[in-house]
Amino acid sequence: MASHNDDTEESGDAVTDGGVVEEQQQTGFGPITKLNERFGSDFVESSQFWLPPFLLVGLFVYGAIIWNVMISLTDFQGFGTPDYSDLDLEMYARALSDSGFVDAAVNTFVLLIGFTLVTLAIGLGLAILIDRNIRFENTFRTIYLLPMSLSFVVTAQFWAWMYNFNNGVINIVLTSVGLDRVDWIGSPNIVLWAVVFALMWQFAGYAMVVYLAGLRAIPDEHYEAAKVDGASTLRMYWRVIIPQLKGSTISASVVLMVFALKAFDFLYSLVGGYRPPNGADILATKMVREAYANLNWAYSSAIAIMLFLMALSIVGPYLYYQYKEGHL
Amino acid sequence: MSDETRTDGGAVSAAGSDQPAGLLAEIDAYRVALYLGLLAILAFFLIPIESGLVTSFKTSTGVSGTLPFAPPTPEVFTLAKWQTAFDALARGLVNSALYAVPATVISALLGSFAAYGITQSNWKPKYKAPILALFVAGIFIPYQAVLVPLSQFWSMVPLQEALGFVWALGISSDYTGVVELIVTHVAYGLPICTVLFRSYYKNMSEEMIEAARLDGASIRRVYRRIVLPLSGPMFAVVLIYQFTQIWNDLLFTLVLVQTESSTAAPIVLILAGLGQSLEGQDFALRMAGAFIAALPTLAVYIMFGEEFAEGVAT
Amino acid sequence: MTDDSDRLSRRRFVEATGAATLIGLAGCSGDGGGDGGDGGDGGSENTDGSDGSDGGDSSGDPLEVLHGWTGGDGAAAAEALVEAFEEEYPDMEHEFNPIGGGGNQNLDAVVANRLQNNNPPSSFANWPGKNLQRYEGVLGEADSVWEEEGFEDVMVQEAVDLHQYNGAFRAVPLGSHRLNCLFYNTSVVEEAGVDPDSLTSVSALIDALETVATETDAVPMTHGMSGTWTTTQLWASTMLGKEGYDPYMNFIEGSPDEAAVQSAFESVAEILENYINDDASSIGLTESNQNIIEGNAAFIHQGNWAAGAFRNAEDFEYDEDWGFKTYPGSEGMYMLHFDSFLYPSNNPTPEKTDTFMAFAGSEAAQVAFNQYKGSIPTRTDVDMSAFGPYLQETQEDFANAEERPPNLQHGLGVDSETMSTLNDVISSEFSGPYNVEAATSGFIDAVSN
Repeated sequence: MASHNDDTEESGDAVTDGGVVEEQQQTGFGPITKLNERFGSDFVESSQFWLPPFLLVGLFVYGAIIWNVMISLTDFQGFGTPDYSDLDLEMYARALSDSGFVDAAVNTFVLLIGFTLVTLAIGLGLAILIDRNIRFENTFRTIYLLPMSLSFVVTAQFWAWMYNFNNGVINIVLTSVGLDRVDWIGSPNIVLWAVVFALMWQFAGYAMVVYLAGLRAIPDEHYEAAKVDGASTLRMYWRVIIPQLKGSTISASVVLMVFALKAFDFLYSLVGGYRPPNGADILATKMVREAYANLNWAYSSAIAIMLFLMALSIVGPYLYYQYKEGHL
Repeated sequence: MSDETRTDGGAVSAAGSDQPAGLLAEIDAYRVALYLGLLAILAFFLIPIESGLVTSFKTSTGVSGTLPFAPPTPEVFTLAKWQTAFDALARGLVNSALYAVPATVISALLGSFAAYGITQSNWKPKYKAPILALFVAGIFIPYQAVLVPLSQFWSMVPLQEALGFVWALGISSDYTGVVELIVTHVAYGLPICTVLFRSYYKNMSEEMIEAARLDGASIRRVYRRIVLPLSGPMFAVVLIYQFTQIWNDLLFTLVLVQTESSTAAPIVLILAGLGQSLEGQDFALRMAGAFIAALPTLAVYIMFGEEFAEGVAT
Repeated sequence: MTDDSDRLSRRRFVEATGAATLIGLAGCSGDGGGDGGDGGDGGSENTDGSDGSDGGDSSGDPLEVLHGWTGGDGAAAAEALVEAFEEEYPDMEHEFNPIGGGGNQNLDAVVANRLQNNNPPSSFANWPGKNLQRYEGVLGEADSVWEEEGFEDVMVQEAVDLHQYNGAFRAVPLGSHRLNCLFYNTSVVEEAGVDPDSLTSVSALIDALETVATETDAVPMTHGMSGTWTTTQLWASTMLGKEGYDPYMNFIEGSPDEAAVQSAFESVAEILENYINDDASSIGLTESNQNIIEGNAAFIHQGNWAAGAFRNAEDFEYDEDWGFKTYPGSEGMYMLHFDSFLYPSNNPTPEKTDTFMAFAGSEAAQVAFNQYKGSIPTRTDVDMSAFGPYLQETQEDFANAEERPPNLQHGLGVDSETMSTLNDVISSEFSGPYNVEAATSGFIDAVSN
């Protein structure tokens, strides 16, 4: 036992059983003990569980982001390898003077906000309807959530067909009630909202599930109290219930925004290529196009970093909120 | 459930039992409207799928000559599109499974490890918090922010050479991309897996674990004997969620496998270009392909709808 | 006990990683995985089917050619090319890998990735001319092929010029399409009382479109602009037809005349605002072309790959049902397009690649490929009897053309980055509403040095 202990200490190997570590703690020698003293008694021993995954994430996620920042400061394009000796902010300046980038940034913003608000509103409506003690609740809920299980690639096929100019369901319905056909995908002013609508179809069920959980967490007494006060149903929801759904709203909107940032898959599949329909270019599609179609590696990295900062400005406050609320 | 009632219909009608009959009729009208509304919404969610399904069974004349949501008449009915789509996508089904299944299992397992190591062990919360924060933030990283380094990384790793013995067996070296996809999906799937498991472990009874620890059981032993056996329900949630995410993802396949012509092309990559060629858009083919690609996740969803809902709601 | 659990979890770990890395080797023992790898690597006598042979010696590797002809005419043409190659070189091992999807973008991405990873194919299909710039530093020399085969004597001068970059030949042409084409449905133009051959200026074309609009129910000019490239190439033909050869060449050479650029845009805007189909922005070339075949439209501007669809349509014959007119104003000119094979440096199979390149420029290859592709040989000494009447006429035009300006949209005239910028301009300023001023300044900025 003792020799085993020595081995462990020499090699700094954390893989050992609890008894040994305790013994070390008592004797108070070695780096493991010091680490444990500083971080807590299980720090080293538990690291065999969390450290490898943490390193993997650290390398692939955070290491890659730092690497991306480095690449975005070079002039890397075409073939070869980036030259890290000459770093500047040229690519960021280029982005700001590129009208295509500005358009894409605006579209990204509109998509984020529009999609999130519309989906939250529809999702809340669905949750309230579902929460009215209806029969077959499970069936309704399952079907409302069903599109969420589909790939963006699949839903893009469905909606390309729904929006088809001559034979799509939507235009057929429009013409049957005497309206003109609309070129949903082809009109630069409309296409972004057509995309928002399709994504809403896919994710309204998600918002519903989150809100439903939120609604059911509200104690029954609150509904009762509102009833006693004579609040009408609508006013009760507006005054009493919805304010209590703040947590659900925040977590749902963060997740929805992240899905909106991933709308690349949808736009790519809609047209089967890197260039989305006119008027629907977002930073996610522009970044991939610049990198893999145009080989502008540094420029696309700079776009990626700005997209990342956009995501961070959404997620950062959310994480802080979670931290303050003690959920972390 | 207590006797305390909510504002739902059942409660109101119960309260209405000692009210005049007119109110009851009103309530019934309200219930009818409610169900009609729910059914209309149901139709809204199903129409794109229904329209796709009927279209997939139509000939090209049928696609342009009949209503998009009407079932195919016998004259325009064909299974040919499904046949063509299946021929094009069958390889993709296998390829997608080749990386989606291992990546799902590995990321769930590692996520469980990580969550356990952070949650059910005794070290200072102020050091746990930043580590946990990095995991949580990892969920929300747009993949674009890591794409260029990712492709740089995989072009630097001599994976294809290292796996030379596999290719020597006659397996196409295109499958290097599949191996890359496994590692990549594990790395980027880990944060969400970890967070899902953490929310579960946080609420796990600590008494049993404490008792075991006091008996001198190692952290590893506690995991194997107590935590892992109790993790079954959460594994179901995580596996289903991860499988759906990995199977459905296009971006990584586009970057790492690149072309639907590759022997190792995943199904989403083939589907993204299916039915769109210089010969024109074949919507029937696209719809049939969409259903074939969706079948695995749909099957998982229909069988494990509850777990899926739990996964997305967390 | 502890040891036991250690071993157990370690085995589980090995199993997990084994599953991840050793696809298809599930039967092997987990422990042997790593060793087996080393062994297989060193003593591989079994390198037959596996491709991706990077850096190895050339003798054993098969010729590997990447191209993007995966559908319809292209696939048939590629097949004919492979057959002809096998006939000529029955003993050479080869892999012709078609890479489909998204126009040529998947092909470009795969090629780029392999060049980036220093794992080039033997050769790949692409455009020569300015397009070669994007492969700066990764292309080798094909000078010896050009010299030995005497290509310089049998190809038109433009082909000789456009296949050189940085002082050496980098590619060999296989075939050529023509860009400045106007196709029409004979019965629709007859119904409207328009004589296409009389249209020798862009303004005459616009007048004819107006006549079609008033005299018939058909769409005067069908246009599919779900991609921007169709509009860019329409602008290029209009620029050439309306303003002439010199202003066009000045534009692609980087010293554009603003008035000429703007005037061309004005004409294109007039056409697009008034004479195209309602669903233009959501359809592509194919559906647009279908309008001609079905008699829903009078005219279409396209490269002559569009004629391939006419040939494949039933009961739709050249001269009887459809006709061709050089884009108005550009008579006597042939706006060039080349399909070529490029020669990557660090070539895995230098000798085989030379052989293949020599073949690609030969009469056998060019006849086999182009008659199916709907394009013409780039050699001027080829027996055209295997080709249909339309392509025979095209070949005569090609051989006798006064000028053969390089195209704008398909790689020859401007480098890929400029082309991408031009398409961004079309996308943001000229996809309806049509902002002539902004598009003009965008185009001028894009090409000006």
